[in-house]
Amino acid sequence: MASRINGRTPASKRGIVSKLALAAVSSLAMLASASAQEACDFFKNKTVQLVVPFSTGGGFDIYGRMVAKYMGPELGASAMIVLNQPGAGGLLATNKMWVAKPDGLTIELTSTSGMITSELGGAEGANFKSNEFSWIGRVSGEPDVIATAPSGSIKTVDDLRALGSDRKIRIGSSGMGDIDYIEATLLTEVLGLNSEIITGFEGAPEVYASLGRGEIDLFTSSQSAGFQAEKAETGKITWVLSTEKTADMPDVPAIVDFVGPDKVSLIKAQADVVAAGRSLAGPPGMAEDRLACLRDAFDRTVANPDLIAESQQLKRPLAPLTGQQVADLVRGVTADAPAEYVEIVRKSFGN
Amino acid sequence: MLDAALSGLMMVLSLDSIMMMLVGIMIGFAVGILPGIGGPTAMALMLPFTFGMDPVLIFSFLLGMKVVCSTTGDLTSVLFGIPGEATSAAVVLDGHPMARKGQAGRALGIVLSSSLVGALIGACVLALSIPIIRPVVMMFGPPEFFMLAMVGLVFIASLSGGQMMKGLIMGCLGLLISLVGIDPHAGVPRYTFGQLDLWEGIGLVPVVIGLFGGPEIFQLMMTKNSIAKKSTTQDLSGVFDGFRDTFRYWKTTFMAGAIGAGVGVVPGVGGSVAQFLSYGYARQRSKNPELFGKGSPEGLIAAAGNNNAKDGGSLVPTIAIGLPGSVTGAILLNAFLIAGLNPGPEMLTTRLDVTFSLFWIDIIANVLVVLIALPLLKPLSKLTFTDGPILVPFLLILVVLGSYSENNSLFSVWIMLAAAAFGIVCIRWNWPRVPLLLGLVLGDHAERYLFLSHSLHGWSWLQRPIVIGLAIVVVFILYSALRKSGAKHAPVESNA
Repeated sequence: MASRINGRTPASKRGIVSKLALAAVSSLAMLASASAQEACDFFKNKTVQLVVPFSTGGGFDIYGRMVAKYMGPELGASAMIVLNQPGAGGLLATNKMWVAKPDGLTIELTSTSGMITSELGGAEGANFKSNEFSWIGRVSGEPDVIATAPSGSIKTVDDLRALGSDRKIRIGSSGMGDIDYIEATLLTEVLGLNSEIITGFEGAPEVYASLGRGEIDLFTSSQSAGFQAEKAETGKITWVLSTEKTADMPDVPAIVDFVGPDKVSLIKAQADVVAAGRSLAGPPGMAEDRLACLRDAFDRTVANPDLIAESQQLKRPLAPLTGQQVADLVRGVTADAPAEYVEIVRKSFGN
Repeated sequence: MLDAALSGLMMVLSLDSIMMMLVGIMIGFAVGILPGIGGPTAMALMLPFTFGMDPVLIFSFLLGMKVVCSTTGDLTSVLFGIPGEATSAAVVLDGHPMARKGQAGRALGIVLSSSLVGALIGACVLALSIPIIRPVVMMFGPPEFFMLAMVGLVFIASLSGGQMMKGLIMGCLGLLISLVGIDPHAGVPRYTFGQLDLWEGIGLVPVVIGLFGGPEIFQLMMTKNSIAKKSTTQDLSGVFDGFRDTFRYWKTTFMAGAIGAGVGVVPGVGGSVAQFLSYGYARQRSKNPELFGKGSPEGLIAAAGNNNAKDGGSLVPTIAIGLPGSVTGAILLNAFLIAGLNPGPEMLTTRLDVTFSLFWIDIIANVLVVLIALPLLKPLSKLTFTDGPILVPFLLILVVLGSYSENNSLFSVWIMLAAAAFGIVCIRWNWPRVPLLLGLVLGDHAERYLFLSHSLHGWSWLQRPIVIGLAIVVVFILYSALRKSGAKHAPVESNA
């Protein structure tokens, strides 16, 4: 019995110590979570405004409304409403967000890649530093793809080069400064193509229609626009504009396999810019604890099975990243972008 | 193919589908009657409610909403002289003068019946084009789009009537205004004066509302009378006269529908131009062109008849190659994706039944709209006998709301007010307003596609057969307009 007692005593001593330690840790945690809770209580019964920088009815708007529907309850807000603020390809809304009150009640679903390239390219009207926004998380991000005409003869990079020795290769684009223009300039550079960029199309479906008619040779677009074009038989996805293949298309090679080692960093920079995708951001200078609340609520939102199911049903896939990951990604491509890449972007903006 | 057409019909005739259509029509009715807030906005806002629905239900709901907006937009144009949609501006030209003469009932009757006939024509174009849809859509590239814009622009001549010089000046002004915004070719902001709000150009909706609605409201404020003079006979039974008019001028009705459906097919140019093409053409070939603009039933038929017809046509490029023909088309394209449908060959083979269901929905929704609107015409036309001081505050709210809702921005309201002031000046010194609108709408397309044609084809685009055919049409229209204006000097817009 004594031995049993003796046997128990050290154990219970250890138990007390560990319980004390646990209590200390958990009370610290409780303190921390109490202050976090206090910060998060701020959103109770408030209305959060989610600015979508494009018109109602588009892909951006659908993402915005989907996220707002599930993120509002996670924050405990009385409502999370979508405010469409179209203009200047998203710059109008983003400039406003740059100077908005950083109280967490106004956030934006930014066109992050457009934002970064506008800044890097020295675009007129871009009055912000992407790096300094309060990044909450990425909703979606898909790689861009390079498409050729469905019935055309271009199947390999060698075909491109062979065609380029006969005539200029035509790459379609919506206009200077657009992401497809930057990619056209980039491809010309890294593949050493003899090309001309045809501008003036109104959006991806129109460029794909032109590709389908065989008027142009190449076009880069988002992967989902590429899929639509394949279904409509107006384009064929031939390469992924990235440093690696994607899981959705294991047979489609990444363009990085066909460029010289000195150009890999350019492809990586562009792939990272595109990967920033559609992300949620608040104005710069948001209080740490409030940003943490928004980030936590965002992480819970994108893990919500109902939201995931809805996004699959709408063919608008989620590709979430945490706020910290987006912030790192954005810092990486703005502060550490290769000088040659920045030069390509600036050239694409006519600077 | 007949099988697909029948199975499409069976899908639409289910109780669920008709119910969804009715819900869509009810929402569309309320929204469509407000100036500016029209089909596209309503559809975009309703899009999230379609998540998870069956494809046919989605389209019953959304197309039903769209169809009713095309019709109710015309009702607002007739009653108040304020275009309910950018696509019903031409309806104002003759519809509103009829309302002023106390013939609101008859005018509304014309709107309903000619819209229905037009819609049937549009739906038939959609159905008949299915076997040849892809090759036809692929035949039209930037050079053809440019020439179609040219066909639109030469109508400036016939739409300024005897005041050819004033018309040309206004048309050029419209073209100049269309230059505002980011240059489609070089990506450089033009005439934006450092205002990001101007980067995407001057919006059509606030200009249309201001240019046409502004002067009407101003006139009501000044005269303090009702829209229709009290002394005129309050003949509200004219609705059926309107129905008869549609069939009496059956050639005009048919032509309006055909132009609407045909132009509706062209991506981008679409409805805001089709109405004026139809109106201009009807005026050119009318025996009484001098009555146009003063309340001519023929002019109203030409304008109202093509409005619903273009809805059917505008689905063609979306279905064929996933290229949306208009804002509405872009929203419907989203709806296709939500419904798990892939525009392109799939819609013409394995899902042909769904494609045919769109055709049936277009027809059935238009019939339902007429049946629902009919009992409302009498109370609506009574509004034209309401005193100005009572009506004006409501109209002011509507025009401000309508222009604000375009971009959720006050900037659009300022544009609307500027357009309204300009509209009043036009009326005072008798300058035609329609050429300005044509220039504004077509300027952007003409520029974009001219440059694209040249960068894609060099000068060889001028040798393409459709381009040559359209060039002949342009010459023919110019010739007959000049000959007529030499013969008769009749201003087209006596009310404008």
